Amino acid sequence: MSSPVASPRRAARAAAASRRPRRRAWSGLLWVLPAAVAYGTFVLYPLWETVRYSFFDWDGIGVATFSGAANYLRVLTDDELRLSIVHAFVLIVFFSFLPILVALFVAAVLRDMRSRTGTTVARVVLFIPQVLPLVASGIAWTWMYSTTGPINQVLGALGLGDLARPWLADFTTALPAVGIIGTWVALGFCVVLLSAGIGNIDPALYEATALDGAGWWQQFRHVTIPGLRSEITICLTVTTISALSSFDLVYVSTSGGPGYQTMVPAVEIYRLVFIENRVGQGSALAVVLTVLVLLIVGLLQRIGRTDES
Amino acid sequence: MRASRDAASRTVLLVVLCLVTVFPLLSMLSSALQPEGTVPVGISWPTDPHWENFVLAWEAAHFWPLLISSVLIVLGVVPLSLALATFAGYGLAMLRPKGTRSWARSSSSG
Repeated sequence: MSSPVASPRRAARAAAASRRPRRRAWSGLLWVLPAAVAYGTFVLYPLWETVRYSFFDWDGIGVATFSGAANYLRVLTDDELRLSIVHAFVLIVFFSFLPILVALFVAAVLRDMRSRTGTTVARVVLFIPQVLPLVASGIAWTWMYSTTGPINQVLGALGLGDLARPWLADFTTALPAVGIIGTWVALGFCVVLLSAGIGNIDPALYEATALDGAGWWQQFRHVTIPGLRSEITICLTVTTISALSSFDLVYVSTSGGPGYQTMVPAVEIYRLVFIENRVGQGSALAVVLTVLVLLIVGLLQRIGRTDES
Repeated sequence: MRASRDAASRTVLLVVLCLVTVFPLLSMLSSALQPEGTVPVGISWPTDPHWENFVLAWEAAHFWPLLISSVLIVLGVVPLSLALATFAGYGLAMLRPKGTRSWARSSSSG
């Protein structure tokens, strides 16, 4: 390529070089094959079946009748189904935005802390909820929120007894109450990720801004947050997925009640398919949820990438 | 002077946050130690903690069989998924066959 008259030896080498990647490619695919088969059987095939079910009216046992897009239309028009999606988006505030905001603050405070043991203890304590099964967290919080539970007890002790209520059974507070459980769970994950990221920010930046007279908040705004852009994107992605597909916490603490106040798509899908035997309708909602998750994840990835470069 | 006072108040906030985090767990523990058949009010350390509740729960929930099932799942899932993922990771990262990027993207979303 470099000289117009290539020597035979060079030509042979070039041919070998161009043949090599192709042989490599085939053996590479061989290594990927087992995972691809597992992925196909346990992810793609069920997904495809779900899409297929969603176009039928089927009770799971009897004969399925083709119903076209009727199931999808109902997702958009039926108040109960539509509300469940709206609730999932409300939960993003609690499962994603709130923990990330608090975790940014915690990570910045941890960075300033002198004592090594202090930071370790704080990180471990805040991470505990991540280690627990979500079902256990749900039960612990159901007790917290109950009429005679610790939250109302503390409110009473503070002289705010008027505010006491059965938090998860109250129509206005049920959804935020469930959301707070999610905040409690997600915080540890965000703290660990963000404080690891903060360690990668060049300390010289902090020194330079400090010499220029920047206060804590200015450093936080102009060094910490821009420096954590990619970590924040990861946090947003993971926690948003967990908000949209939340099942365990909601099912254990309220199972959608009171009324329809905390119904989320995952619980609704479970109810439709396994309790009401409306497999087609449940599948349609599942497909809508999957598409929503993919769309939002794609969007977040794009935002994270353009901002990075 | 002001800076150190601010740092102190931020540390206090952090401590409060940690307390809020463990509070639900402590309240669960305190209600686990209450005498059987009572409904506890709020969070309170029982005068005589009923540690035997844990033994009772262990037996009532048939914990051993459940735990064995979990162990079986772990023994199956962990080695298998680790092996498959290691193979695929090696194949994708070292040998770079065609379509590597789209494959990696789609399997991480699944």
